[in-house]
Amino acid sequence: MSVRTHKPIRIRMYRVGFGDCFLLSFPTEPKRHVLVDCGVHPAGDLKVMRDVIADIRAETEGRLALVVATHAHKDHISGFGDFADQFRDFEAVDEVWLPWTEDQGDPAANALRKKQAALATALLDTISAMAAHNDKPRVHAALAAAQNLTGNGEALALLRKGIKGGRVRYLHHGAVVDGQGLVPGLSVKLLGPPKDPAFLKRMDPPKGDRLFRMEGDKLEAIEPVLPFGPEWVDQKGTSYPTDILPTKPDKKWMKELAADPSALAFALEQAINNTSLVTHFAFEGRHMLFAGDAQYGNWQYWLDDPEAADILGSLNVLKVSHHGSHNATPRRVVQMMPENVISLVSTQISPWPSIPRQAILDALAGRKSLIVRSDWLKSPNAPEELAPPELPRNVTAGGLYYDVEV
Amino acid sequence: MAKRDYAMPTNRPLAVYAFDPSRGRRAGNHMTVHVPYEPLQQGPVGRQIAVIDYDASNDCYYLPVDLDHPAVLLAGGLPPSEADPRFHQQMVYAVAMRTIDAFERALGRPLKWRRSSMRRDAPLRSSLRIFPHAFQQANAFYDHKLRALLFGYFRASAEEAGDIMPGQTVFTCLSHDIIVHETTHACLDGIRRYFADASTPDTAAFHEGFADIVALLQHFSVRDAVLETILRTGGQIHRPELDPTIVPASGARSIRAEATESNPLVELAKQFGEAMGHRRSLRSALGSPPDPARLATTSEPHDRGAILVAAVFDAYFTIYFNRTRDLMRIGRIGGAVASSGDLHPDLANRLCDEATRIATHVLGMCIRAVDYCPPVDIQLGEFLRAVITADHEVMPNDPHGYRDAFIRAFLSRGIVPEGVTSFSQDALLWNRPSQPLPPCRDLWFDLFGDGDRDGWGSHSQRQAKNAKILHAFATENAKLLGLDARLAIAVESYHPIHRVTPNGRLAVSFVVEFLQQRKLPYDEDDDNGPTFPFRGGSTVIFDHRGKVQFVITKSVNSAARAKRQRNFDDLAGYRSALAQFLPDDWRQAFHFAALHRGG
Repeated sequence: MSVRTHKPIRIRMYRVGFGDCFLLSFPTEPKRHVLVDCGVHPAGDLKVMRDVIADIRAETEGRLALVVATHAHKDHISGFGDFADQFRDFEAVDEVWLPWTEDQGDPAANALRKKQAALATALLDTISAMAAHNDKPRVHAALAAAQNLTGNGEALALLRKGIKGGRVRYLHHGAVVDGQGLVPGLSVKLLGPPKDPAFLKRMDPPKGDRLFRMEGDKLEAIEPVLPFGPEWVDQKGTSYPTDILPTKPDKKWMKELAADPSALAFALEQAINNTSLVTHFAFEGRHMLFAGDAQYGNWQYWLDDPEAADILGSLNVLKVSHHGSHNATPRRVVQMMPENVISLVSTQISPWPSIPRQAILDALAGRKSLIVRSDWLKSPNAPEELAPPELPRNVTAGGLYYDVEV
Repeated sequence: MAKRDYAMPTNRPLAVYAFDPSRGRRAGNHMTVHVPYEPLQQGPVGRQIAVIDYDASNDCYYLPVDLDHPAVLLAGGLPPSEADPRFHQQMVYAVAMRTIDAFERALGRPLKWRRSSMRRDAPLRSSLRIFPHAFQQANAFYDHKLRALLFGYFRASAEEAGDIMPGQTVFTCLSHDIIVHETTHACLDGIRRYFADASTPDTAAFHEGFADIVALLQHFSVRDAVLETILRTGGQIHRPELDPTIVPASGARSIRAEATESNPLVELAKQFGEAMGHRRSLRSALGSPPDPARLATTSEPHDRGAILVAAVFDAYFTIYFNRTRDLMRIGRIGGAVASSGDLHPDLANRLCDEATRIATHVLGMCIRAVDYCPPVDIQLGEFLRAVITADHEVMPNDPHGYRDAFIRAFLSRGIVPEGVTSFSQDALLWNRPSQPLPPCRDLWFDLFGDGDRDGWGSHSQRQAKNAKILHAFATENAKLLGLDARLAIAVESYHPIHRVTPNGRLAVSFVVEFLQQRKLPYDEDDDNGPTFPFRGGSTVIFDHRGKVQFVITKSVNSAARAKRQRNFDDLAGYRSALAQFLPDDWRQAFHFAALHRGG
């Protein structure tokens, strides 16, 4: 009688800044590697992406079994665009997975994306102009959201080509992929994003009809209209009793109601987060969940399924969704997980000071979860200095990353 | 010769569009409404409404209309025109006033707007402001912060189909439907302030659905628009499946047969809603066969609102067909009725009378019910109980089956109140106090609005005194009123209800909202994290002697409600990581502005 011990899977969590980049190395013969996301937010960029990709190449000898791009946000895929040349230099990428919403052969996805992209571009222009002479935190938070939404075209183009011509799959909730051909012993199940009309409806970006409008295929800034001829205009309202005219604060609020793009930017940011691939990997008795930036709407879709209890109940590793933000890790998820799960939090307090959220980390700690935060790692350009706790034996720090063995 | 004053008229006739300008003169689109007469300043600015034509996008004003100018008075108001902003001002004034009038008639008291933060002596402190051209935006909404209705205008794109030309400026303030809808939001907000706090899907659904019910029933109470349709579709009304003498097999399902898609009134209701996208979606369930299972699987507020709208209209149609049975039979004796062809104008007129009269009555039932709703967190099933109770108070028996029609219509759409033992009228009435309560004495209400008696001083002093009495009463009887004595109790509002009973007596009762609030953490186990206000309380109806008649409770200690609110907030994204960057009252702003924008 002997207890069979598995060779450990190694998960390398890079510290890129505000963004995700994970390299999973499976103890097969020869070793096989899976890359989950490779991106950083421009407002929280530690400028190490080139080195990170070089490290991935060295570590994998340029051979990736699989690249999972969870969703089309800069902080998850910018590396595939900004450093596309480095990726083109890889030896082989067998498969690339993207959420179904990025499928150019799917009319529903196309319609959705077209609207989202047009709105995002217009929002970035408008909010950039606002932010230039406005130092409200709200405006700058909105600017960061708009930046995250745009300029992902090059990265997506590379991914859609399979990077090195690998097979591209567009996946959604319920898909099961036999990972045997990619990594012997690996099986994969997709839990998100959902693909049903009700979910789609929520994904639809808010109509930007205060500022922009769809004109045929493209979004146009709205041309100002003077609804009546100048003979009807009473510039200062002198023909009204003076005491009933709206006050200055009234007018200001009306102008804000007329054109406030920040709320649109936040709503759109959240809509795209919810298109995240939520990927469940099972390999020789170990179970890992990579949730991308899934927020409540994505989780809620499958948490009521009976299989959710099984999946979460047998988890060993959780990639904490959306950098540990509020609303991205439902309490039920934490409660359904067993104790001692390894929680990987790729995060940073810049550009959004609300992230990560301490209550989520506390809740995970309450389940005796082993938390590893990417921003504990020392980095020359880091916006803050955190004192990391003592690391357990299966976690080691490198120059660019933490290695976690499972 | 002694000079004698002229008696002032009770009404002011004003021209408006029955629908919106895109219909031209068809289908009685140019019509005259009669609004209660009041002297007006330029704007118009009256007792309750101040129309101020300020445009935030262009930062300018447009010249105001003087409705008291003889030239305007003689002509019954300015004629309909898209190019003259003064007609726009006239139309929003007229339609909003008519809506307010419907509320005041049903409630039996003058309407009060939500309390304003304006200075006590500010001239518009007791007014609802209306900005007919507030900004360039394809949107219109009620904003509680400004206590104003904001109507946008926009340039029609090639996508806007139908009667509108590309490049033409479209004015939301010229849509009859939109004006009534937004005015209703303001009226409802004045009666139940916390219904604007979308704490559950039903609460969000209710504001939208209710506003649309009022908009639709207002249309049906306008003769010209209905008559035209009844005449035009005359033959249709007598199609076999609509024939009231053919009774479907199952009595309880009779509504289904009567609300088939061929019913011209359904089509009419849908046409009324064509003006703007989101209102069309609220009418999407009209004419669909009732499915009791659908509500349970519908969580989106607009879709739930659509089910409420459909339920009220099922009830309306059922009543209409029941009450026009005799006319149909008489018409058939005359031989004028065939399966197709024109309706005899006399018969059409009588049918139209019934349709408009019933619409007015059903509208009154719905509005009166608001007084009988809980103070917070309204659920659709509770609205049914409120309708039944309020109507029962006016009309203890139900000779024409109005309440019966409501109950059957709601149940067949799956709108089921929680915690009732059966769906009979008795069981649906709100509960009487479980134990006898002492009367609340010494409340003083100014029944005729005329004054100052018994040394009670000014109106505001009276109010302060009443509030004190009610507060003491609630503190003393907290438990029986469904309140938590350990928490502060706020007297949110109290209003008299005046009405004439069927036996001709004047009945007076008082409706009082008691409110309580706790701060709950979003995370149940994280007491230091962000919190949300969780509200509860009771609506209490007193009779004129201060005796408690009904207690309608939402416990501030209900764990189930707290859970429901947490879930809804999660789903609606209120708790998104970035939500903290939104303005303080974004949640309510979100509710009206954003729900209206959503497609």
